[in-house]
Amino acid sequence: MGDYQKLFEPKKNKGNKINITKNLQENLKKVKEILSDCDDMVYREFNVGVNQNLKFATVYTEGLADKIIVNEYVLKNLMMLSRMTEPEVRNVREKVYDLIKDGVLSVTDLEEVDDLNKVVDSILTGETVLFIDKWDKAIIIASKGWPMRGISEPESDVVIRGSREGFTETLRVSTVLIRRRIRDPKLKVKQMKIGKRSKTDIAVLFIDGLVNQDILKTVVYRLRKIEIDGIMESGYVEQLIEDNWRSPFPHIQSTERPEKVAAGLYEGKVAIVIDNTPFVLIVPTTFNTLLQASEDYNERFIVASALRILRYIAVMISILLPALYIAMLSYHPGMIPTELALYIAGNRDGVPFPAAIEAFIMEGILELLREAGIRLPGPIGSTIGIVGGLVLGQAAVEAGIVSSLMVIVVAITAIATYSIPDYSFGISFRLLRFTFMAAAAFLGLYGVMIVFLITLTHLSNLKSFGIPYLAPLNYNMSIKDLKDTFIRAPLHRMKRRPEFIAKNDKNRMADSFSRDYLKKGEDNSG
Amino acid sequence: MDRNNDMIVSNQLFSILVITVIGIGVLSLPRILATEAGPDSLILLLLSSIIFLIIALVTQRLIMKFPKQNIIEITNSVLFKPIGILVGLVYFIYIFILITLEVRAFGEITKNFLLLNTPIEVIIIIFLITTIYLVRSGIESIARMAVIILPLSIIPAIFISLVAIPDLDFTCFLPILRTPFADLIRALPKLFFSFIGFELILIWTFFVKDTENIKKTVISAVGFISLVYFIFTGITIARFGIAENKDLIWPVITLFRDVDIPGTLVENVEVVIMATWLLSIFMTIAISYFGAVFLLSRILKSKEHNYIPVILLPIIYVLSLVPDNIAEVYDYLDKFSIYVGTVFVIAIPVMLLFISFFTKKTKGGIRKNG
Repeated sequence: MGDYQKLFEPKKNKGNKINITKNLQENLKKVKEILSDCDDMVYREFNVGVNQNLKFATVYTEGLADKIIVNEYVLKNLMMLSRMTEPEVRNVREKVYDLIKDGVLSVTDLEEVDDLNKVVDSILTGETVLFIDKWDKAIIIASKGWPMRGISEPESDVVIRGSREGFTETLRVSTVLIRRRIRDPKLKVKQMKIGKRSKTDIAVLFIDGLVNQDILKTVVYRLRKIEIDGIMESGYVEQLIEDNWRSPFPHIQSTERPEKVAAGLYEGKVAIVIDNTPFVLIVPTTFNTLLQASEDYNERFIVASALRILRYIAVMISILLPALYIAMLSYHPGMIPTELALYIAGNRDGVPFPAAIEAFIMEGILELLREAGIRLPGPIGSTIGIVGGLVLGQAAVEAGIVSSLMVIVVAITAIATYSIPDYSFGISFRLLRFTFMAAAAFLGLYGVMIVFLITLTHLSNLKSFGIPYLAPLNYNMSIKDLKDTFIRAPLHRMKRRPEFIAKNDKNRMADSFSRDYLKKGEDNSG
Repeated sequence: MDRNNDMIVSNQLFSILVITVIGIGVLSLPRILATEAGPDSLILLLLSSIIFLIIALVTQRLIMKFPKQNIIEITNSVLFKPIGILVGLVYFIYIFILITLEVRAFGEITKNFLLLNTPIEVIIIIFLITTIYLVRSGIESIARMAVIILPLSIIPAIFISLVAIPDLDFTCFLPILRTPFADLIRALPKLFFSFIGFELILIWTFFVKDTENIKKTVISAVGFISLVYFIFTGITIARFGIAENKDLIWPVITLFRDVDIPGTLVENVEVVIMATWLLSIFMTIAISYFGAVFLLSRILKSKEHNYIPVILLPIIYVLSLVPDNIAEVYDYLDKFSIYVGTVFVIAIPVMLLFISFFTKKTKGGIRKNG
């Protein structure tokens, strides 16, 4: 079986253990001490048995535990049912736990613990704890149930054709959404807690036998090294485990779409699901994956390939267009065809700034608009768009502060940036654009090429969990390696998983599968 | 740079070799060919390609005898200990001088075509600093860069030169084979300038993971380089004729300046080509730079050699400004390639292979017949 099991062996418990005593009152006192001033705790003591001589107590957090479970299946059963029938066992006191576990509590998930620290942890995660007098253990009853958001369509990764389900803030719902797409016992869900105070649940998902063991090892190692008080969002984890914190490029993918995660797992990647956030992390991530939309796989390959190429062009436009505008106008006017040059000269007539300043002003305003629009609620956001984009642009051109060509350049750049599927990836290009513009302002096309080379060098240096960020583009380009990059080959031609990730089980499809049977007329379509 | 995971695959070696060789050689190649062989230019090119392939295979044979070793270790294995250091030092100086000349040539061309009013010092300094970033990143990053930049710099150039096809006049290659054969042979060393950079394979093979594929890589790299040279010289000479090609410093650049693609957004295509050419010359220099740094660090036996490229930078900068003008740079380059390049590209590998047949010891290396 998998070697992965060693990785997840729990750390040696360093925390001091507090034993549960046989005295119910003492136990409760201790719990109340630990949870002092936590007014959201509910303590309930009650008597059980025909003679009402067994003392019980339950503790849970109000709102985190499902009250119906506690009332109907724990309290009701213990208090009513156990009174109706006399247990056959003589020595009730000694056998009380077995009796309750096997006969009374109609809840599926029970656990027996002897450490008060664990008890407190469970209470805080939403479980209900049952103490029994004269017995030095406690029963933890799974009763998690808090108000949660339903599954809804993801806001950030929108597709036209594809599943409408998105992850929610609850870890279990998220893993279920992935499990529903991979009904394979080999899909492993290993959970751990990170955060000294937040004790956030984190699940590492992978398909055993398919996953790249080196990557899995690195992921688990880095996750376990994290020592922080609280994890608010997957962004925390991302920044703490990523390879290069100085890089502007995201090298861990975060997504709200379950099928993206499932597809990643099928490629041999590792997914990290974090409680309290709908964003799931996928590692390793390459430059190429961030330009893939999940819809690419749902459309026919010609359409998908065309869209892929379009996206690569969009990336080039979004980082280069304003820089090229500056470089060509200020340093290489000879490059512009004569008629166009005359038009631009006429258009820029009266504009008081050089092209570089003009570009910086307009791009700066655009970034401002975007930032303003994002934080505002929907209808006002679009107002900002109209006021900023239409009114301001028009007024600026009419006032002669910027040329209308500049407005066009800025608009094209903005559109190109928005066509990059991954949001954080898009931001890094927006940032990069200003570097390119500055270089173009100082050194023209030479500067642009120099920054391009620096960026490319940085990208070549970058690795995501041991996988080169530029993979598979960094090996010699043969058609075989490019099946899922600039183009998307037909599904039946992509019989192998990406070679740079999946090392173990390389075949996605049976080799024997071909679409020839359609030609031979072996099917029944006549 | 010396970590265990510094490994490249033979596919990446192909890109490294091709981009190092093509970078600076292609621009002036048609001039050399037209001057030396006139109408028989392509024949001379074919001849030199074949001879170079043989030399490359000799070098490869030497490498296969001592897999996973660099030139210093190979020499030490073939001869005896201090000789390796000496050969390494000589190679280092050779590469170093080559870099300074290339940097200067690059600066001149960039100034001429992209930044007329910027001082060449600024161009060179900025360029060298960018190069250092890549050099310090190590062989893996260099290999990845080479693979990506190779198509980026060659494909646009080929596409644009295809536009010139309607204007071509292939009769300038006639009459065929009228040049005395002795003249062709005599011209061969001059052509090795266009293949300079290939000898660095003696350093790269140290990093190659799949040694068994090196032979295939060498053959396909030489083949690819020759093919690219054929396309560009063929088109350039057929476009301008023999006489004009003799007078142009960079005939290939003139070709792009001359090309007029109807109905495009860009009028002067040569600027675009210069920009993409900048990519490949950057790689050529960065790769040679890394080779020099690697050799020096081996000679000095220093483990940590991230500081070496920084120390070398001012020396390269000063030396690159020594020639007075671009004509002098090309004069130096020509002489350098004929008299010095030939020694390093041909003489040393052949000699080493020859001697290795007699001295049977292969220290540390596994005997393998390529």
